[in-house]
Parts: sequence; C-alpha cells; structure tokens
Amino acid sequence: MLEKELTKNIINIRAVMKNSSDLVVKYAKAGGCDICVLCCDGQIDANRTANLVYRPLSEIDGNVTPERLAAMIGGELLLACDEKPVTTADEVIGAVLAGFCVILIDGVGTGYAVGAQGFETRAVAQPENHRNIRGSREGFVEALHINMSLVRRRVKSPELTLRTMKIGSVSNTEICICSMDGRTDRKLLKAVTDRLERLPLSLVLESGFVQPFLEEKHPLFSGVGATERPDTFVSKLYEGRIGIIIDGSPFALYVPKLFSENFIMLDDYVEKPVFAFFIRLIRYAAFFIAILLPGFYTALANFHPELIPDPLLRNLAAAEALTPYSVLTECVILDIFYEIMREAGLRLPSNVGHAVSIVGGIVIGDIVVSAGLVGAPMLLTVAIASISGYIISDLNNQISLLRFGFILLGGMFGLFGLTTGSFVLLVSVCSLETCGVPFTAPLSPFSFAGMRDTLFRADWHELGKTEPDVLGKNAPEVHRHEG
Amino acid sequence: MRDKTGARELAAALAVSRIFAEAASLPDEYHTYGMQRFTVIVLSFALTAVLFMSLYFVTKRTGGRLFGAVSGNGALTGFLGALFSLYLLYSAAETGLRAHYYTSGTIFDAAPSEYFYLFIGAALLFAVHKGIRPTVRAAVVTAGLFALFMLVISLALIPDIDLDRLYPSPVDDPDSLPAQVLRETARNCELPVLAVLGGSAGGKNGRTFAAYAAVSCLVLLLMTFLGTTVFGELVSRLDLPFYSLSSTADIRVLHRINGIDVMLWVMAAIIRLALISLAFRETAAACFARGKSADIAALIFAAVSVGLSELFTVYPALFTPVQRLSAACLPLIAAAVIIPPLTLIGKRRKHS
Repeated sequence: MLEKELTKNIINIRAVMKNSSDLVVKYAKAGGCDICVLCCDGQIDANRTANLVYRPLSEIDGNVTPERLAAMIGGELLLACDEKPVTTADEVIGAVLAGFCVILIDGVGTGYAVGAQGFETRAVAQPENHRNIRGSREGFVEALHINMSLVRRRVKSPELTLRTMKIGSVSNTEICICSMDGRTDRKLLKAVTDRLERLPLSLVLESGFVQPFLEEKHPLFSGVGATERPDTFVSKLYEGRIGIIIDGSPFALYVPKLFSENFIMLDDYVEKPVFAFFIRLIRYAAFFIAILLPGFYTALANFHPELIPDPLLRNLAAAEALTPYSVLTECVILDIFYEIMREAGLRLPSNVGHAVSIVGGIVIGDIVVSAGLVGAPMLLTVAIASISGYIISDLNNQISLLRFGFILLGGMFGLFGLTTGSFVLLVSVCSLETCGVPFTAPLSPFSFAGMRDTLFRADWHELGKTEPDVLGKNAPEVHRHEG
Repeated sequence: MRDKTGARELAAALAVSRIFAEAASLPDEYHTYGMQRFTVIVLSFALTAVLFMSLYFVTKRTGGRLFGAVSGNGALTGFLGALFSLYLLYSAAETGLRAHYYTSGTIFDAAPSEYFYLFIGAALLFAVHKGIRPTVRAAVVTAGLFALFMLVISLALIPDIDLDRLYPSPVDDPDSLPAQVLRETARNCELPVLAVLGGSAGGKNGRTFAAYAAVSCLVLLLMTFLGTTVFGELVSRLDLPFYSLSSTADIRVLHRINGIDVMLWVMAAIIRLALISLAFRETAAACFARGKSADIAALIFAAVSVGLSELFTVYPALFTPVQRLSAACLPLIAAAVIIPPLTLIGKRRKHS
C-alpha cells in the first residue's frame, strides 16, 4: 500500500526501479499541497501531459486540503479519458511503465494514473509480406492500440469483442484477444484464453513467441495463422476464429488456421470467381512443383528414364553427359546454393540483396552451366521449383525443407522413395489439429459446404446468402485437448 | 474408442484399400477377364453383403465394435482374438506381397525386396503410430487423387475403346464361376476390418459398408470395362491390369502417366496395411492387451506382417498353400460366420 508521506513513497518507488534513469519525478504544488508527478521518459506525450495534467493542476485556485485535492483529481477534474486510482507501489510502477502519468499527493495514500501515452511509432503502411492488387493498403504496425483501431474501424459492431491482457512476467506485454460474439465457439475462446493466461514465458517480444503455445506440436506445419493485414484478420474473425494482437508485433495471429488457407488471398474475392479458381489452381500446382519437381526429376533421371518421353530423354542425356557429378549431387548442390542465396538476400539490406540476387542468379548460374559443372536442365528444374515456392509465401520454410527431403528420397530411392515420403508427409499433415479443428479440412475430412471457398470460390451472390461455415462440421473439440 | 473418425471417411479409406487388391494378380491367381468378369464382380459384392449381415447384426448391438461385448471373457476372448488376428496377419502379409509384386513389376525392377519392405514398413509404422484418424484422412486424399486419375485415364482411353469387344454373355464358363466369385470375395478383407474399426466411425457400420461396397464395385466395374474394351482378349493375360491401362493412355502433355499410377497404388497398399494393423490394435485392446500395450502390439503386428510378406516373397512355396485356403474364401467366411455368433455367446456369458 502507498504511504501517506510523499517522500517515503518516492524513495520506495525509486528503490524498486533501481534508480532507473528513465523514471521522471517532478515535484510541484497544487492547491497549496505538495504533489509529485511520475512518468517514464519516452513513454508519454509531452503536449498531452502539459494539457491534461500540469495545466488543470496549476489552475486550482486557493489552498485545499490534500483529501479535497485528491477528490478533485479523482472526480471533478476531467484530466483524461483513461484515468484510474492506484493504491500500491507496484500499481504505480506498472502504470508509469505503461505510459501513464501518476500523480501522488502528500498526505494521501492513493495516487491517480492519467493516460498520457505517446511514443514514436511506425506509420501505418502497406504490408511487406502480404501484398495485394486491389483493396486496402493498410498493414498492422507495432503499436497495439493502433492495431486495435485498425480492426475496430472495419467492424463497427458490438459483435466484435476486444479484450486486453498482459503476458510475460518480465516484459508485461499487452495483448488483445479478438473474437466475434455469436460466431466464435466459446469453448475455443476459453481454450485460447486459458493457454495465454498460463503462458510460461517471461519475455514476449514477438507474436512468434506465443504461437507455439497455441498450436499442436508438429515438426513442419502450424495450425496458427499470422497476418499483417487488418482486412484478412477481420475476415478470419468473421469466420469464427480467435484473433490475437500482440503489442510490439506487426503480425496478428488467428486460431485455427487450415492448410487450404495458404492458397487463398484477399484478391481472390475481388476478382471473378473463374479467375479466382484458376489462380488457386495455379497456387496448388506451384506448391507441388516447388516441393516435388527436383525430386521427381532426379528420380526419373536416376531410376526411371523410361518414363521420360524419348526426345526429351535424349536432350537430358546429352546435357548430363557433359557434367562430372551425378544427377543427385548436382541437384543437392544447386538447391543448397539457392538456399544460401535466398538467406543472403533476406538478411542483407535491400539494395545489396538485389546485387546478391543478380550475382548469384545470373552470373553464377550461367557460369556453372557453361563451365560444365551442372547441366542446364537441372538448373532449370531447380529454378522453376524455387520460383514456384515464392507463390505461397506463408509456406516458404516448409517448402525449402520438403524439397530438400524429396530430392534425397527421389535421388536415392526413385519414385518408390518419393511415394513413401509423400505418404508419410500426408499422414503427418492429416494428423495435425488445432483445438480440435483438422488442419486439412475441408479437403479431408471432406465437406461439400467448405468446398465452395477452397479450390473454387463461389460467386458473392452465393457466398452472401449464408453465413460463413469454414470450420463447419469440424467444430472444435476443445475439451479433448484441454483435458 | 479413443480415436474417432467419420463414417464417410472410413468408407473412402476402405474403398481405396479394396481397390488396391485389384492392382496386381499374384502368380497363382487365375482370372478370366471378359464379360464374365463383370458377373464375378457383381456376385462377389452380393456375397460380401450377405457375409456382412451377421457382422452387422452383432456390431449393431456393440456400438460398431465386433469385440465390444466380449472384452474380459478370458479363454473365449483369447480364442476369438487369436483367430481374428491370424486372419488379419494373413491379409496384411498378402497385401505386402501383392504390393511388392506390383512394384517389382513396375518401378522397383530387380531391387532387393528388403529395401521395399523396409520402406513400406517405415511408412506403415508411422501411420499406425499416428492412429486411425490421420490414416483415414490420408486415405480420403488418396481416394480423391485416385478418382481424378481414373477420370484422366478414362478420358485418355476413349479413342482406344472398342465397344465391339463387349458381347452379351454374362457367364462364359459356368464351371469356373463359383471359384472365381469366391476368390474375388476373399479379397474383401475390409469386411472384418470394418467390423472392428466401425466403432471409430460412430458405429454406423451399415452405412459405411454400403458406401464402401458401392464405390468399390463401381470402380472395379469401370476398370473391367476399360480393360475389356481396350485390350480385348489380351486382358486375360495381364498381371497388372490397371498399370497396363495407364501405360496405354497417352496423354499429350504428361505423355507417360503410369509413374503416377504406381505412386497411387503404393500409397493405397500402405493404407490397406495400416487399416489392418489398426484393426489388430482394436482387437488386441479388447482381447489381449490394455492401454499403451495395445499400441505397441499394433506396431509389432505391423512389423511382423511386413516380415511375413518378405518371407513369402523369398519362399513363395510357403505362401501357395495359404493362398489356396484364402482363395476358397474360408478365412473370410470364418471371420464373418464363426466369430459373430461366438461374440454373442461371450456377451451372454459376461452378462450372466
């Protein structure tokens, strides 16, 4: 509890804060009483503090008792929308670190926290990873409250519930759980909230820290989605998912995520259904090309040349005859080389990254073929697979790993190795569930209702007739996992 | 039942499993392709439906589980479980052998059979470890791919179809018809598997059977139609009838699509093996083992069945007598006719 003596309180708070340099303590007088305003440097807006705190306090006429001053601050004076009493040193510190100004009065054991938050944030801009052709250019930023406003602006209905809480015993990161009343399964909401409340982390810096605690364990895929787009996020909430926005991260999470959603983009809904179907078909094809093509090529070249049409086989044989390495070795070298280039391009500044891409892709690619180290068909195969992988940006990492695995399986064991590998992958993906919702729905278990917006996209006249039922009969069986 | 799935999904998995039995004809299997083949298929499914009746009435009372009522009945339970497990073990070993025969005739060439069984075994153990739900879901995807592939093959074969090869004679050789019908019926090991795994699909065994039997029968009839109209009399000498069809289908873009065909059949083989092993897990859980030990028993069963397939591959003389017994449909009839009444007796004893 706070002491009535102001000096003791300040000494106590300074001791807990270990005399931290960013703790600002401003002594003053208001209504003839000694007061102290505490805030955290860089967390508050100076203009708001001057207008909402200092000016009203300095305008109090005459002398009043400390109790009367406290009553004025707590009731009569309108200092800010976000205002709350604090009664303990911990509450004072928590409020100060969250960007509040705390007013302490000598002779009163209660302080008042006034919301005057203001810190530098990145402006709302186009998302880096989830770009679209038509539609909003707004993306989430790092500040939680800006992100909450981006969501609220799109759903001006009491159905949308935003509930904030803090996670991380040290970082005290503020998060917001978003759901839509009447659409979200309550068991699912409770399960997600429980998991977040039980989060064992002390430091939460990014949404990726929280993600593993919401998904079922799987070595490759995740049943939790992440998006930078408020419009995508809102559409997921509308479909009955739970959304989680985390302060400090421009990626909002939603639970559960289905495998088929990796192939659905927001642009699909503003184009004609036939084009949406075509482009989704291309995305599915690109995914399978990205993971299987090099493995398939090495399998055919090593073990099953009879499956390759004769004219093509002659060309391939002529190209491979000039290279010193086996088909498998060539493929592994090229794939590793591509991954190195990709990693270098990702981490370097963008202008240098472009240079790396040019040097790696054109110069080295051309030279390895002309030097006779790698056959041109192999280079083409790996390049096509790599470009195909970029189409599904959310699965980039999985594609890289799977492609490498299938190259080894195809190169060492032929189509038989690819088949058994594909089966194991299929069973593994089918085993993944998030809070009881199968990752592979609505493909398997198959649902006709779900198929109207999976590979095909029904017309808006059709889609608008009924409420979305993406989770459909695969309604969460949360109790089974929470038991 | 700790691992649940849907009735439609289980039906699709059983259909994939059943269709795999047509992938290859083992050396001693005798088939007369032609118009009589259509009759054989229809009659075999009619006989399968009759055999299913007793299983259906028993499992209807026990929530779709054949051994649901007899668990904990000591000697009787052990006897029934052992009898049933033997049948499952044979079915699994025969499936492994058929898969090896198929792949060695197509993509696996003269590679040592140990490699084949090692790979199949690894994928099988993974599926059994994951349980019925992922296995059945994987089977649904395989069924979808298979349907798509059948469509492509059928469309590609249209120019090669000669309807004059069909003739109005449903029975060419009345003497061989009963033996052929029994042999075809004996391939339905899915019947006992359904009787055990049906509980996982909410006990809707009747609906599951109807769906699986209808789909399997139609696909087999379609395959026979294609085989007969494309190959004519040649079809009677084909060991790998569907592979021959896909090899014949010349798609302009893909050109050779029989590689995809092989991939689908191998996946179907693993699904069949996994379903049989999971059926053993349920049998073991009811008759021999409790808790985790049933899971371990299922893994051991899967490994043993693959080992037995390897033994049959290396020593075909060991397999021939067992195959003759199976071709007469005796093991299936035993599983469908002897075991159901005994489970009812066991149930009465338990209640008394």
